[in-house]
Amino acid sequence: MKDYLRLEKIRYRYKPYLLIARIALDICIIILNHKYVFPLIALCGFLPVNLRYVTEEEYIIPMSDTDIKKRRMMYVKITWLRFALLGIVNLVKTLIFNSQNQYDYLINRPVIIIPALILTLILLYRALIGETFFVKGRSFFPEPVFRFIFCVWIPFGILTYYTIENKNIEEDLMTIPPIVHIIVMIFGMLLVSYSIILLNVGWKIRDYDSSNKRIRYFEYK
Amino acid sequence: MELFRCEHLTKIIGKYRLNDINFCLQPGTVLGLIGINGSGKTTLLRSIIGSYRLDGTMEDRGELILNGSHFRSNAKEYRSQIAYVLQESPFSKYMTPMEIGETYGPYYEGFALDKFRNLLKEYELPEKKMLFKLSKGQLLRMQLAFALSYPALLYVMDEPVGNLDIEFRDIFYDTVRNLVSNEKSSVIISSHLVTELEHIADNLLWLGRTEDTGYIRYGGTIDQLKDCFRILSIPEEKKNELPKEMIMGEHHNMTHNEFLLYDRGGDFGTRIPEELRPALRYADLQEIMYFIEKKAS
Repeated sequence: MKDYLRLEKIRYRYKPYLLIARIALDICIIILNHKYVFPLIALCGFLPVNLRYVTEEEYIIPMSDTDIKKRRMMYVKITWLRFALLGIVNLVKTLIFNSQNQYDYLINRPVIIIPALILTLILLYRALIGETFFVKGRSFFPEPVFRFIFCVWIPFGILTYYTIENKNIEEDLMTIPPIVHIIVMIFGMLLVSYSIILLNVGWKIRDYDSSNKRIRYFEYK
Repeated sequence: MELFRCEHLTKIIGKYRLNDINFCLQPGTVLGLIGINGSGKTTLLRSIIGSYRLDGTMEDRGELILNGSHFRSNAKEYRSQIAYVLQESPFSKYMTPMEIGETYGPYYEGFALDKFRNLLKEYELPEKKMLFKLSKGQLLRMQLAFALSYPALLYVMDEPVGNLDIEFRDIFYDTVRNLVSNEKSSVIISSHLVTELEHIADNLLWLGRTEDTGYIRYGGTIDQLKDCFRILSIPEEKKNELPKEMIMGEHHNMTHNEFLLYDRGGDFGTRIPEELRPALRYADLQEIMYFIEKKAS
């Protein structure tokens, strides 16, 4: 955690516009309609995972490969948890806002599905990094093909279903054409899933390459 | 007992191949690493400190063992015993020297932040200036201060003196001598300043290059190497009096030709004609390297 905060401090010290962008993003996640929050989270969560600036010190300070992976994972983990937290704040806001006018909305699908999806993502993520739910020290999805099915196709299906259902419920509230909404949601979910796949299936610590510091160390094999 | 061993290290970086490097290091010694540009000095040093992995590609081979710790199986302990001063600072350029100490120091057992601060003062380095604002010489000093702030067994230094001013070079060489004086630590130091290296190094590892492959041209003591070579300055017409197999290189100038002569046993007295012997002299390391590399290219 200390490491993460230090990295963030370093990142923002010389790039304050990044801090402004992040605050703006966080505010957006909280105030936006919950339907747009997912693609936004998906896109924003995907970027820091893949575009992290790496310095050589990480390769030479006394850490085992597991420590290095943990250190990197900490960054990703906190990013996702932050988004999850903001998603929950958004949800609470929606609940409070809607409860004043329309109590039926409280038991409607979106309210249930959104936290369910957030939870699914977190659980999938935990499973994939080896922090299993059932058996300690043993991955829940041992084979890459299962990971692919669980992380890409199932979330894809859930999200597609959710998006289509949601469209019928709140068609009048849509400000963008439904088909665009669906495409964006599907893309967002695929990006989330793909980034998780990248993180875990082919996780490999490569040689440090000083000529290409912006490396993708989450290499898919 | 040896402190460090490099066993059959083969490292592939793109098209370049550092091939089958073997050497060991006794405690209390300084190993000088020399070679022309592209011979693999930095690749070797980066492999030793861990920036390059031993399984980066399918063809990478070898093992590094430091004080009983194997790099492949116990990277954490292995790395904790190494200190480094590199050409390019490995630390984030958006940190101050003090932040470097506070951030990375705790990873090393026995890291003394006060000592680090004192060394920064001694080396006249600003504590609160970002690294990208420091000169190359200052970055080297900062790395040296960091390296000296914890008890390491192996000090790896990649071209450390090229960017240091003359005054600090003396301090640097004194520091290296002090490091090995306890007979526990060793230093590997690469440099193009061969003459300076000759004065400080006990052993030598000379890397050569053929096309895209780097290999060990010589490994051993400097004295042993120098015993095998002599320089002979004679007119061109007397060249035929020399045994051809002894001539390892030649350099022509207006009046004389200089020949680098080689004899494995150092038996120049009997093999060189008597009238030419007065023109015979010892070759220094730089001359040996110049002639050999010139011939190889």
